Amino acid sequence: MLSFIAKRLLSGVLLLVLVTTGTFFLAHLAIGDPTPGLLGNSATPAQQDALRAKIGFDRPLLVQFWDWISHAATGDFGSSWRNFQPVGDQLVLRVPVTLSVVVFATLLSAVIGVAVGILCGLRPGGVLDRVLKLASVVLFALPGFWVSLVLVTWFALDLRWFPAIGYVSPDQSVSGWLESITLPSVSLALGAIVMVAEQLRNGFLQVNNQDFVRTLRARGLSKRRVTAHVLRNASPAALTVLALMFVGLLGGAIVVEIVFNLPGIGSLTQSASQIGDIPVLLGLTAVTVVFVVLVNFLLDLVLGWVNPKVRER
Amino acid sequence: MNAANDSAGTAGTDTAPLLSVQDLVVDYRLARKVRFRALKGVSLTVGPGECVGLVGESGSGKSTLGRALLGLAPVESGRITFDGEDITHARGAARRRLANDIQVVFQDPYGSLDPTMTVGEVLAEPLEVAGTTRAQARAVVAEMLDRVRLPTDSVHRYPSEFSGGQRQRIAIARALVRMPRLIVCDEPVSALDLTTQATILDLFIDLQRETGVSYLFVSHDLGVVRRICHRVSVMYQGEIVESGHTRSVTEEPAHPYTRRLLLASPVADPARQADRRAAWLGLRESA
Amino acid sequence: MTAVPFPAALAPVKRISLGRRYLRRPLGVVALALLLVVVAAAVLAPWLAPFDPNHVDFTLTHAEPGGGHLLGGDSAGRDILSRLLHGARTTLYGAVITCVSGLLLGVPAGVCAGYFGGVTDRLASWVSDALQSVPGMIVLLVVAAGTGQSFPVLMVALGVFLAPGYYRITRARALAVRKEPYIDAARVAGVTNPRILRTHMLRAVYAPIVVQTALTAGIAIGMQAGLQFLGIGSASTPSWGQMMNDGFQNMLTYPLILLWPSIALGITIAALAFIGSTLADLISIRAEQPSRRARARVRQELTAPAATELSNRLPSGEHEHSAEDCALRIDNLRVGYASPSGVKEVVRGVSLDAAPGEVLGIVGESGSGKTQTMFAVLDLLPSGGTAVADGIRVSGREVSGLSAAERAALLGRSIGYVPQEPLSNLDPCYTIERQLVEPLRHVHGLSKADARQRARDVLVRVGLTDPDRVLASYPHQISGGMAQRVLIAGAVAGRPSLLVADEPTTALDVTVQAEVLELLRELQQEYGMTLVIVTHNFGVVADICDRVVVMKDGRIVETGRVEQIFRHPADPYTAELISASLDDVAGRHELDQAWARESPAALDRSAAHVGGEDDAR
Repeated sequence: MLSFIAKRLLSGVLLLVLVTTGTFFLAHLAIGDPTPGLLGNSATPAQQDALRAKIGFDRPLLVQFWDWISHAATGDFGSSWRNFQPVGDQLVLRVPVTLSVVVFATLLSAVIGVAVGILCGLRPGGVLDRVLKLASVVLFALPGFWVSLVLVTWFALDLRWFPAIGYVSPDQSVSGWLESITLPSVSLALGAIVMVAEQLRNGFLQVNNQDFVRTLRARGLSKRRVTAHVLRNASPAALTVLALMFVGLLGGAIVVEIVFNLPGIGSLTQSASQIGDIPVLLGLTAVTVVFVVLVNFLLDLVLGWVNPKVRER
Repeated sequence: MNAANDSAGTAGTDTAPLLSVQDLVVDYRLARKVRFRALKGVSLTVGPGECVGLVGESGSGKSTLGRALLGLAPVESGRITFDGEDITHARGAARRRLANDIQVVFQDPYGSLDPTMTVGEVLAEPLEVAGTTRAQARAVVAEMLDRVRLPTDSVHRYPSEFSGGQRQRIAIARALVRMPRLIVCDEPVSALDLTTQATILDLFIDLQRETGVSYLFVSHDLGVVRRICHRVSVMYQGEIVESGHTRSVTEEPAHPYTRRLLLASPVADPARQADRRAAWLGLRESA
Repeated sequence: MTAVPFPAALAPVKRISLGRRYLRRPLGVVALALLLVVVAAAVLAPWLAPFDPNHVDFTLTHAEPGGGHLLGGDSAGRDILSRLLHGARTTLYGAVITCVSGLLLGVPAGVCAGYFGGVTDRLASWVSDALQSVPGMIVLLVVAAGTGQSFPVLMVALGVFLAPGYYRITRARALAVRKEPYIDAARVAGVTNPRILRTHMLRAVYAPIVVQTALTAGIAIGMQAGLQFLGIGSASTPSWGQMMNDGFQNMLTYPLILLWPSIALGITIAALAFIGSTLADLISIRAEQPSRRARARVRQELTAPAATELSNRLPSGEHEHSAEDCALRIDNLRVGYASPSGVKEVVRGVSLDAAPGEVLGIVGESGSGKTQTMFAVLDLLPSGGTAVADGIRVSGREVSGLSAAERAALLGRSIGYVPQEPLSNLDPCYTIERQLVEPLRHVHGLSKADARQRARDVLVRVGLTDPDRVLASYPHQISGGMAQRVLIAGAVAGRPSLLVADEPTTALDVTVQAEVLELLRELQQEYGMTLVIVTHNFGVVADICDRVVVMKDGRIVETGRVEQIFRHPADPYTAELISASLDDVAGRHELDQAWARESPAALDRSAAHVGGEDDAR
């Protein structure tokens, strides 16, 4: 078990290093000289040279890379090339906003998805099951930002149940915070809910057809107890989907945040990429990968707990 | 060697065997450092036109031996000779050349035919890779279908349209199209119903008489082996514990394991089964 | 031994192509038609569009629909309809690039990983997992920032991030197919690896990939629109995402501008999603269940038989004992399943009985309905199965009219069940202890300690020498023979008066089979149980049964005491089954002798060189 944990952690660190390295070189390759983007086209060559020297862009690429990664390893992501504020400070401000939305959306999809999945698995072919099937087809494919546009128009503008835009920090008001993240989370979660539910429902039916379920019933166990067995066997696939969804939601959040005008990493990513602010982009990448690695690690632990065979590997 | 002399063939004990296996060892890697020795130094010969049985229970290594001959199992040490040529580690082109001589029929009549191919395509594939023209291939396929007693219009049908026994006939036809000299039969009848099993066994015997092909016949069923095999080797935990002519092994087993195996398989006659069970219980007590 | 006559020609089979079957699904047809409309709009945009999509006419700014501009004008004074049509072009062009690049990356990698396994698989899977863990949107924005307005490059990058979807589905399928014997057979037939990959493997993954492509296209279009919404892409190329951004800016004042591209996007994605789901249904990825109405129809048809086949519906088999004395008595049982061509009856009028303490064998070949008969007694038919009987009595009590809950209450208490496959009948996620103790506690009401003690005692009784280790084990940690003993222990732990065993030894080795049969016999005598044993093996019948029922095609052909059935089978089918068991038939030795006598030529033609070595005996 310990070696299992060590292996997964090592793999996570390796992933983190590889992805940030990849992004570093990809960004430099793709963006090239960032100074026109940062200063605007009207800047003189002298101004550009000054900026290049200031941000260290005049050094060889490998030196820059070493400089960045050695600092990043200690948690120092450098400073933005535009306003020279430490990247870390910006992330500390912005990440909680995005995480609020994404974690809330993940919770929603887990709770509702599992509940719907079980109900449909218990009554395949029933009304709820048919609704799920229809919903899963449409909602899975529709992009979150499209859904959020619809939700904003409907709930916020027409019905005025929720604030259309803006973010309230939980420090200020917990209920305000909840109100401000509800619509963004729901628009993100809809697709994930049906994915989780569909996965669980199919897994449920598959397990239900397995021999041991019949044997359990033949021993006289109640339906509720048999269902518990089925559920445990069906859960790994749904859990895996849930973890995948988390990654997808992080990406989807970028666009949804812009629709709802939330000060999360979405608008930061957008602006940083438009002007070629590489340190900010790298910081964003690193932070998101850390979260993804953590979630996957958590998933592995849960899967090991659910299925004894996994533990032994 | 009385049994050899009064058997049907012009048995010559002096002829070189078609296939000879010497001290074969096969290891499967289960995990990084865990190895499982599936075969622990096994020796065996198969003569031309002969059917040699390999009988044993699951995990005895009988299927592994068949797979090793076909190059589907990792050989650790030992030697496999076919027609005087060392084929122990034949790979790539050399292994593909062997397809002319060694073929296989597997147990599972459902998994052994590609469900997306018509029977014609299934049977023509081994010929196509050998460079046979389409017209020739078609003629051979038609002949083989006839040999295994399947209607000629089967070529346009998919495997799913056939029953288990019929599929096994198709698998046998596929093994025969290249006119091999040896067919490895890996439990070819154990997934079939009893009545089907009997007819397929008869087909195997007829085909051997018609074509002179040799069989290495892997089975867990002593009854099946007795029906079709000239000689048999009994395997237990990766080793051959007893070999000999089928009649002597099945009627007067020498090794205790063979005796246990024989007494454990129930016979379809209540009175005789009662005797057999009593003998089995006695053997179990004494063990 | 008589060979079964073989038909000279096969009955014609109606094969319906996937395309044909697709067109029978109304939802699928509608979705396909909508997609075709979008495709046509995209292809014909230059001719269909009434105006140049980039032509600015200030009078048209925020214009309402009408006046030659069917959908009005946008915030820059351009014709919305024309932009929508040209936007479809961009959308589909991008989706094609994305899908093709995802396909080209994911499918070959998946097929190779599944086929070759080992290092190839681990490496490819790691890369795929890594790609799925990368925050794709950020990287895409980086790419977009750098490559500026190069739309195709961006769409290829998007394809890279969607490739894991293809990879996972292809690999899973390839992995399953790799284990099929037909791949080994192809290798033995001399087929090269590239050819196996090209033919067998690619054919196997084809259908799931078509489904995946429909879904991927939908996702790709959504993400593409998202990127455009964020301001990525050339301003001179009209796109839906861009139009939605424009509409979003003016959402409060001119909601129509947002409405049109939203509808276009929603319809296109939904159409692709429905096409994918219809295809998935057709190649049965999603398990469908028969509706309640279908089940009612089966029941009705089983109870009210069609007059034409009445002879087939009369009860078959006979009762030996009086109804009151029976541990089990079945009267005219019929079992049917709903199928596309009506009701498929697998048991057609079966009557049998067994006295207390009697061992009854139900014997037949596959498809004879023997197992279905037994599941009907347990009321545990697979989903979709319906049983109808004039009467089912367990321990003298009529149970066929009872509710499902009352029937379930018999299980574990009055009726015990021993399944066929030892390992698939234990829950892989729980220890043996949990699985044995749970019914004892919650069905039989024992305390935790008592239940554990009882479980341990029963394990000892079924011959397991180290019960504590077995109790602590998970199913995958014990052998098949041990698992079957555990299952028997589970079946008899509740001391049922009737034990039904479904091919209890078929999956076991012969030596283990003998042990398990002996155990069943001992338990049956010790507890005085009635044992109903379903088997295809006449040796098993001869070994353990008192009476036997022979079944064929859902009906009983013969019932009788074991000695009588073996000695004087009344039905030719019974005789054929018994003779097929190879016990007394001639061996190869005798066969070859007979052959030599019949055809002297055989002596010359026979190539058998038997006894190539001195036997090591």
